[in-house]
Amino acid sequence: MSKREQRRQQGAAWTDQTTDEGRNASSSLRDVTAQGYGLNIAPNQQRIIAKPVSIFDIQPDLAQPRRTIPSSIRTAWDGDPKGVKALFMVWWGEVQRERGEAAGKDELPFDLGAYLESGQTERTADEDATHEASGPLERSLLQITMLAASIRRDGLINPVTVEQGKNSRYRLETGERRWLAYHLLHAWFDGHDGRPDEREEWDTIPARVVEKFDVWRQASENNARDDLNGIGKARQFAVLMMDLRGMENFRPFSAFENEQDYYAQVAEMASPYGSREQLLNALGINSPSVLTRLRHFLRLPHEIWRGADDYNLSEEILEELYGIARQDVDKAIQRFREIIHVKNVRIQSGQTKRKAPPTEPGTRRHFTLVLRMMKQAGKGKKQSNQQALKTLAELRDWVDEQERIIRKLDS
Amino acid sequence: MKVISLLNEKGGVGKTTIAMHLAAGLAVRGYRTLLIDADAQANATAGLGLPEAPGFYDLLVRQANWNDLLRVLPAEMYEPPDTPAKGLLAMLPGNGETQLIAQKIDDAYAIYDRLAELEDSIDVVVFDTSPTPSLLHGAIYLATDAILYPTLCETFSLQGLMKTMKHHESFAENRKAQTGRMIHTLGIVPTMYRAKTVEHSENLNELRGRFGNQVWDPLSLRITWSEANTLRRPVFSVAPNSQAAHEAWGAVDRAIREISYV
Repeated sequence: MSKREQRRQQGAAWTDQTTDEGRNASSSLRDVTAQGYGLNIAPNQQRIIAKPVSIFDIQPDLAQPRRTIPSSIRTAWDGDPKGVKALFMVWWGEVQRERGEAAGKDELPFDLGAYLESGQTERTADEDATHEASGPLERSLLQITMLAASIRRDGLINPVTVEQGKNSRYRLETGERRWLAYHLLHAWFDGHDGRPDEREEWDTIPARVVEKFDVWRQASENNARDDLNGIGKARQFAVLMMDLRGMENFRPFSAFENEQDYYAQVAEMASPYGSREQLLNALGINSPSVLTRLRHFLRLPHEIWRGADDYNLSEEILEELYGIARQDVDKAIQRFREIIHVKNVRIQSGQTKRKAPPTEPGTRRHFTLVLRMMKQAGKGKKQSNQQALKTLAELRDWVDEQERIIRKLDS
Repeated sequence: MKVISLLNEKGGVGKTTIAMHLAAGLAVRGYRTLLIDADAQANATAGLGLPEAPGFYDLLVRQANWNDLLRVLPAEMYEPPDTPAKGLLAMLPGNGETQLIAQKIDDAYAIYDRLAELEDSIDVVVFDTSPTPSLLHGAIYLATDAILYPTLCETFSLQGLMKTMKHHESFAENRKAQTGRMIHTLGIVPTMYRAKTVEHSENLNELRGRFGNQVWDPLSLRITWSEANTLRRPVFSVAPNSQAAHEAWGAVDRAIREISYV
């Protein structure tokens, strides 16, 4: 061995040694600098490397507390990854139906192709108005679409985690939305109707393969985002409780016709001694009284459970409905329908909570809008093109008006 | 003792020139100032006419004594003809070895700890840094009390500025957690400014709109600055009555005001 090689080996050993000793990560120059510059260098040895896994080999976790797919759509799907494309078509059809019922036939849902192809992940002011007028089915699909657009533009930043199953199939632990977004990209960019063929690219998703499915890890991922609604939290609570009590003591998800009944198995159960703190932490709540509330949600009537999830009803409303249901179930369901009706009516009459202010031509904001619209316009993007033409016309009127004013000054 | 670093991940924005003038200006105004050349190009070292060794590398890797490293500059090298320096200007030179430092140390607080030894003898430390992010920058960030950002009013420099500010924030978190001390922003100083161009004045307005009072008065592009570099003396020493000297003093006095808040 040459001297140079020896030195090189020694050098490498020295570097390894310092990491093995588990030096305080926060004072190592390498770790601190990597962190400071936002470089993703995992400091620990437990790092699991992501590998590409076919999206068709991944089975979603049907008991997952967070519902990416609205309950009413989900019933049309048996959980087979091969059927996701068909699921999207049902979903899109339902979105159009929802639009038709709510806002009149002339209102189109968002332009799915334009989103995917432009890589746009933020809504413009005009689109905000469209979004306000959309129902829960459209909103949830729009979220997946925006995620898909960002993945296509920037790549997948955080791999999904899957559990190794039998026959080289996998069970999805975290990342249902990301996985669906890959399916959407795979289905849309199929080389038909002038769309590029990117099926090969979206066929596999980077996944970390974990040895054992961990509901607690799933919970912490769910809590990292703040949009888990009351029903989602109740599901999350139930799944963790089942883990604490031993999954084998419960009947499986598939044994129930109504998914709520699966979770409701824990409604009357107390958490094992000493585990309440863990449960509260995993759920991201700070008061045991919230647990009581989640138990209440598990006992809501089926119709309310389903609708509350799709319409993202607040926990306060759910608690109120539970209070009524304890006295009189029918009355509670009636009250629930009223609430949903009001939500729909608001959609119908275009009364929106937060209507975007009109962008005045001649302002900087409007110029930016025009430029963005021009960028988004393209072949086959009907809605984008129309919007671009509309803003251009506004600008043209404004320019004409200015010209008139100045000519007047001279004459 | 306050530690000020000149940072911008875009090169050629005037970090070295401002660092030299700031250090010299503070020395004239009465501060015991130390200029550290942490750029492997060692322009600041050459700019003040000092030999390159021993330098920054010796401090951090060979663990040399401060007394053997510091070079106190004769006041006539930087003071204006009619204004004797009230403080002193010392320098820790840099050289090519600087780029090897990070391979030899793995303590993020190495610079922080060595500077602590100077607490009683130096009032202000000024770091001249290299543009490209490196491991060494990590250690400099953590040793810094306040950052002064020189920038041109041009796109690439402003992009560099924004990136640097983002990194400033994340290093500040670590420093806060480890030492309980913040990394302040001393200011943003627009350099080589050409007031008569639309590009520069628009960008300056944009900058002021965004950062308000943190943006200092711009230093205009003047040949006096280049001449001073050739003569290895600051502009206020070479041409005390020039516009450049006037603007340089403006920046030094602004720095003194800001340092009092740090």
